[in-house]
Amino acid sequence: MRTTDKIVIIGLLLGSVWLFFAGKNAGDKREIPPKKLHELMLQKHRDISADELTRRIINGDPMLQIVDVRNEKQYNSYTLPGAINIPLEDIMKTDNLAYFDQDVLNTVIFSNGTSDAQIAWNILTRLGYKNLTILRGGLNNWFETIILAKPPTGPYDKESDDLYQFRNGARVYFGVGASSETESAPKPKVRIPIIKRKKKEVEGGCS
Amino acid sequence: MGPLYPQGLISEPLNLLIALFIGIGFGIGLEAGGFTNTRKLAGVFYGYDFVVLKVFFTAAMTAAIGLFLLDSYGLMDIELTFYPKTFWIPTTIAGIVMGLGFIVGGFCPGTSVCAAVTGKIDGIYFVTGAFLGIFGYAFTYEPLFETLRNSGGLGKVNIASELGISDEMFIFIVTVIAVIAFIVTDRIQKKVNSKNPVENIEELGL
Repeated sequence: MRTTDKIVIIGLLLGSVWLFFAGKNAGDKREIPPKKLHELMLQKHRDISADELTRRIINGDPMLQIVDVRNEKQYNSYTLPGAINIPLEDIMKTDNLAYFDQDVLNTVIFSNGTSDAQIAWNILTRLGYKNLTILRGGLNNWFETIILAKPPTGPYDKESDDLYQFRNGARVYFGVGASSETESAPKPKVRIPIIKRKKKEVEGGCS
Repeated sequence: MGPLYPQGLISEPLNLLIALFIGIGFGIGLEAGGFTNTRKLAGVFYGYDFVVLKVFFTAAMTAAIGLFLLDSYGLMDIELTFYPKTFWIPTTIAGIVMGLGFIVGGFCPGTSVCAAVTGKIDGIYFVTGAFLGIFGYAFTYEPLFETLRNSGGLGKVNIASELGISDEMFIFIVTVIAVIAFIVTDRIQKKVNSKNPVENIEELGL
C-alpha cells in the first residue's frame, strides 16, 4: 500500500472519530426522527381525560405539573388549580423550556380546545422532552365534563352514578355549589414550586 | 451559516457560477487522475485497477465527514441541504442499467463528458448515447416511465435512523468498511497484476 493511501485511511478514520466529539457540542440541536415522533404520537397515554386529571388534582398528586398554553388574559380569567401559564408564543424561551426539561414530573398541557396544546406537545416532543400529556378535549371539554356534569340518564348504573357523584364532589372542590350549574368557576392559582434543571450534556458520542 | 443558496445568501446566477468553477475543477481533477481512460475505469470490474473505487469512496466519506462536522459546529444546517426521496424500485433498475453501462462503455456520466471534451471518440459516442437516453426518457416519460418512476416510494429514508444508530456511528462504520475495502482491493489488485501483468495505463498513451 502506498504512503498516500495510508495517509487517506488515517485521515478518514480520524475525521470519523472527530465527529463523535463534535456531536457532543451539537448537543440538544438534534431533533427526534420523524419515525420516532410518529410512534410517540400514536401512543396510548399521550392524552389524559378530564376525570383523570381532576382526580389527580384533588388527590394533590405531587408528580403532576399542569401547563396552560393560552395567553395571559385567558389564564388570569380562568385556569385549572396549580396550572402555570406558558403562552404558546413564549414556549421556546429558555426560562420556559426549563419547566419541561426534567424527567420526574408528568406534564399536562392544555388550551381551550386541543390544537394549541397539540402544537406545544409537538414542539416539546421534537425537542426531546418527555412525560408530556395533553388534556383530552381541552379546557372546554373539562368544564363541560366536570363543572357542568349532568346526571346519568336511563336505568340505574352504579359506575355512571359513581362517576356523577365524583364529578359533583369535584365541582364542590373547585368552589362551584353541588346543586348549581353555573359557569362562574373560581380562579385558584396555586403555584407549584418548580426546580429548574439545567440541560444535561449529551452523554457519549451519540446525540 | 450554510448552505448558501437555499437560505438566499447568494443569488442563483452566483450559485451557478460557483457550480461552474467547481465543475471545471472536478473535470480537471478527473482528467489529471486518468479517469477519462476507459481502461482505468473498467479496471474495477476486472480486478487490475481499483483506483476508481478508492477515489469515489474517499470523496464520499470526506464529504460526509466534512458536512457533518460543519453541521456539528453550526456552520451548515444539514436539514437545508438537498435530500432526495427514495423510490427503491426505479432506483434498483436504474442502478443495474447504469452498472451495465459502466462495464460496457467504461465511463460514468461525469467521466464520459471529460473524455468527450478531451477529444476521445469513445467518450463522444458515450455522451451522444447518454443524451439519446435522456431525450428518449423525457419524451416517453408519461406513457412508459411515470408509473415505474413513482413506484416503491419510501419517502426520505435515512439508513442511520432506520438502524437506530446515530449519524456519527453510521459514518464511522462506513469509514471502517471503506478502509477494509481499500486493503482488500489492494491485495486483489496485486494478485491479479502478478498473474497477468498489464502495462501501466499511463504508458499506453490512450
